[in-house]
Amino acid sequence: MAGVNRSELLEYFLSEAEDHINTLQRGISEIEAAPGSDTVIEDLYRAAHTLKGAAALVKLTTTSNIAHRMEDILEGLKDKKITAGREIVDLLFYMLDSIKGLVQDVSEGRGEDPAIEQEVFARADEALSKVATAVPGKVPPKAPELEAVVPEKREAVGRRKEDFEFFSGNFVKVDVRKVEEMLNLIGEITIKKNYLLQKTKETGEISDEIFFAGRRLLKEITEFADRYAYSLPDNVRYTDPLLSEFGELEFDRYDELNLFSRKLQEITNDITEALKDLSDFFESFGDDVKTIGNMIKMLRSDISEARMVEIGRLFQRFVRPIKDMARQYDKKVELLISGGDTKIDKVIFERLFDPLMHIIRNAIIHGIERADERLQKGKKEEGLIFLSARREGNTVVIEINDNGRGIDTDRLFEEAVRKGLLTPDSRPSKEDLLSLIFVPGFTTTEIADMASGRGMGMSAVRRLISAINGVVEVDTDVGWGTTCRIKVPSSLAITNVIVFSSGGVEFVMPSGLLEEIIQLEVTDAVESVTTITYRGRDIHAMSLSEKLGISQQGRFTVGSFSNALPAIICNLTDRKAALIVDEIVGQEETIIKPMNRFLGGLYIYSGTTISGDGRVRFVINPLRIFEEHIQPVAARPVTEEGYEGRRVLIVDDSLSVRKYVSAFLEAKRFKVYSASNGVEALNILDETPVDMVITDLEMPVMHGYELINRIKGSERLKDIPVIVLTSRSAEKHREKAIDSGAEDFLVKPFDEKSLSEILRKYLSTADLA
Amino acid sequence: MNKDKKEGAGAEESTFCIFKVGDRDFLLPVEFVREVTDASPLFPVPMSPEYIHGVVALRGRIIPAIDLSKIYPVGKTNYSDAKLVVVDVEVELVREVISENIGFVSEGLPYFATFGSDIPLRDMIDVKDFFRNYRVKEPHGRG
Repeated sequence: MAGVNRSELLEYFLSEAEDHINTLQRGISEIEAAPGSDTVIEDLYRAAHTLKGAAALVKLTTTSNIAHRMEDILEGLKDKKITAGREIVDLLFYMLDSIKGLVQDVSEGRGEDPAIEQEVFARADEALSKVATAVPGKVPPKAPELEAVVPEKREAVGRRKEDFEFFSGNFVKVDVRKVEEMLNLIGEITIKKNYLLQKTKETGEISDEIFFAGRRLLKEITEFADRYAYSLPDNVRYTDPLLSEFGELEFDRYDELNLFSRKLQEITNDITEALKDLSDFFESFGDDVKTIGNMIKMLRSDISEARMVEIGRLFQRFVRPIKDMARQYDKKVELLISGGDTKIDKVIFERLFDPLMHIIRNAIIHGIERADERLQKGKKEEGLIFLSARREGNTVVIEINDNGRGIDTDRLFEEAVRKGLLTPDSRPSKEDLLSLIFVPGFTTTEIADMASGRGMGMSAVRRLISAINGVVEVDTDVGWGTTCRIKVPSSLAITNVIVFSSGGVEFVMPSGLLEEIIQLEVTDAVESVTTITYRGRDIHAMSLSEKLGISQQGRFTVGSFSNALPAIICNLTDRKAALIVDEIVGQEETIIKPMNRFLGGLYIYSGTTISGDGRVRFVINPLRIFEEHIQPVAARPVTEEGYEGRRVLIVDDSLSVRKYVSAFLEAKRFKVYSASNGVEALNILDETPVDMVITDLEMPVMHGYELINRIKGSERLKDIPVIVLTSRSAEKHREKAIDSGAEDFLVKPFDEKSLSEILRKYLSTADLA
Repeated sequence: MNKDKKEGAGAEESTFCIFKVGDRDFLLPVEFVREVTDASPLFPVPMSPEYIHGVVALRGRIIPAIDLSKIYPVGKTNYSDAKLVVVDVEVELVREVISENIGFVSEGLPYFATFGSDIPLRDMIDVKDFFRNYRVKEPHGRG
C-alpha cells in the first residue's frame, strides 16, 4: 500500500462513522415514530451503505458486514418488502449498537471482535423470520404500529452494551454554515454601526456649523445695534410719558431695535445652550455606538472562535504522510511541531492542507538529502522538518522549515537564462531568483530534482494561498535548508481593508496583502514611473489610475515641482510591487462580497464592498493587477514521464473513499481534488482543469449519472475521462454508466492494481500536453 | 396604452415591461422584472466595457447598470431622469446554474403593457441570452 497508511485513514473513518451513526440513530428513531417515511429510509439506507463501504476500506470487516446487513434490511424497507414494525426497529437499533460498540473498540485501539458478527446475524435472522409472515405487499399489521407509537425502553430488548452516549461531551455540534450566517449578520451590523458612527460625526459637524452661525448672528446684531445706537440717538423720542422726565443718561432707553437685538441675543444664547446639550448628547451617543462596536467585536470574536480549530490538528495530519514519504524516498526525516495550539478559522484550516502538503512533499523529496549524503556534509543523519505556527495580530504565520540542501539559486539563474527569461550578464538578487519558483511553469521536476528547487506546484501553492488572502514567502540557505513562510488571516468573515482613491474612484484592498504605504516623490508624470527603489531593491511600480485608464485627479501637475503620492507596497508573495494611488482614505473593517457574476470577468477585482454610507467600492486584487508582468516570463511547463502535475478529481460522498483514493493517487504524484457530490465536483471543474474524474454513483445532492451527463454534455469537459467507482457491481449499473458516457467502471472495494491499470489506460504519458 | 388587446381573443397574451432608450423602446417579459429603481447613485466600474454604465447598490446587492445605447443604435439618449429596470436572471453557464441580478438603464419610468403573441418582438430582450452574450469575460482565459 504505497503511500497509503491505515491509521490515518482510520482517523478519517472514525470521524465519518460518527456522522453516519448519528444519522442512523436519528433516522431509526424517526422510523419508530413514523414508520413508512420513504425519505427517512432513503437517508438511512444511504448512511448504512456509505458506512459499509468506508468500513471495508479500512478493513473493518465485521463492521462492514453488519452495515451491509443493515443496508439489506433497509433496502427491504425501501422496496416495501419488509414492514417497518417494532421488530425491525429493535433489530436496527440492536445492529446500530453493535456497530457503535465495534467502532468504539476500534477508536480505543482494541480492534474488532469478529464474534459479534455471528451474534448480530443470528438475531437478524430470527427477527426477520418473525416479520417474514407479515410480508409482502399486505397492509402492515396493526399491532406493531400501535406499539411503535409507544416505544418501550429498548434496553430490555437486549442492547449489546450499556446504552452509552456516543461521542458526546459538553458540546453542541453546529453546522459551519450556521456560524457563517451569524458572522455575515454581524458583518451587516458592523456596516450599520459604522454608518451610524459616521452620521453622528456629521451631525456633530452640523451642530458646530449652527453654533458658529449663531455666534456670527450675535456679532452682527451687536455691531448693528451699536452702530444704530450711536447714529440715531437724536431722532429717538420717548413715547412713554412716564419716562419723559429722565434725561438721556439717567435711564436706559429701550427703542424697538434695542429690544429686538436683546431678544435675538437671548435666542442665540438659548440656541447655543441647546446646541451644547445636543453636542453633549451626541458625544455620549457616539460613545454608546463605540461601546456597541466593542460588543460587536467581542461577539464576532466569540463566534469566530466557535469556528476556530487548533492548527495542531492540521499538522498532525502530516505525521503519517511524512513517514511514508520518507520511507518511499529512502530518507530519514524527523518532524518537529510547535505552536500547534494556535487557532485558525476552520475555512482557512481546510484550505491550508493542500498547499502545506505540497511544500512538505517538496521538502522531503527535494530538500532533505539521503542519510549518507547528510553524513558526508557533516549534518545529522536525520533530516528535520519543523512545522510551526504563531499568531501575529490577525494573521497566522505558518513556517515549514527543513534542514536539507536548500535551493540552489545558481541553478535557478542558469535555468532562467536557458529559458531566455534573464540574460547571463544581469544576475538579480537572491530574493529575485527565489521568486522564480513561483512563476507558473518555471520550475520543472527535472530541474527541481537537480537544482533542488521546490518543484512545480509552487505557483499553485501561491494561488491557493492568495485565494484565502494569504501570502507565501521562501527563504533558503544553500546547503543548509529552506524555510517557507505562509501568512494567512486568522479569520475570513470580516476583513480589515485599506480604502484609497484613484481618479476620483474609491477602492479597497485587504490589509493583509499590503506591506506598507510609503510616500513616493513623483517628479515626472506618474505614468512614466515603472520601477521604484524600495528598501534598496528595484520593484515594479504602477499607477492605478493609469492601469484602470481613469484620469488622475487634476491636483497633481507634471514637472513643475515635486509631489508626494502614496504608494501601496503590495506583497505579491514572490515579490513586492508598488501601486501608486491618488489618496489614502483610511482603513475599516468590512465584508467583502463576491463580484456580481455579470462582471465576473473583471479579474482585477476580487469582490465588492459597500461603505457605511452606501458607496460601492471594488476590491483590488494586486496579484492580478501585476500579474501580466509575470506572464511574459512564464514558459510552458516542460513535461516528463509519470503523473507529476496530472490532476484527478475524485467524487464520492464517503470521506474514507476520497482519502483512500487521494492517498493512492498522491503517492503517484497526482494532484488530487475531491468533492463529496456532483455539484461540488462541477464547481471544482469550473475552476480547475483536470485530466480525469473518478466518481461514485450514489451521492446526495447530485448523483453520479447526472454528473456524468453534465460533464459529457459540456463542450469544454466532455473529453475528460470519467471512471465510475461504485460498490454496485450489477451489470445494469455498469451499462447505464457506460451509456451515459463514462469511460470505465471500477467496483468497490477496488484493488490498487485495477486502478493503476485504468490510470495507465486513460492517462498515457504520451498525451501529456 | 395600458391595455392593448388585439382582436384574436384566442391569441396568448403576455405582459411586458417597456422602457425607452434613445428613440427605441425595449421590451422585457414582466416575469423577469424584479423592480424599478433610480439609476443613482451610480458608481463607475473602471475597466469595464462601455455598455456597463456603472453599478448601483440595491439593499446590499451590487447591480450592474447596462446602457443599451452602447449596444444598439438608438440615437440620442437623455439619462437625466434615468431609472433602472432590475431583472432576475437564472442562467446556465457552461457548468452551473447561477442566479444574478442585472439592470437596464431606462429613460424615465418604464411602463407595462399586455400584447397578444402576434406582435413583432424585435425589441424584446431575451434576458438569458443577453446575460450569456454580454457577461464581462476575462480578457484571456487563465491557465
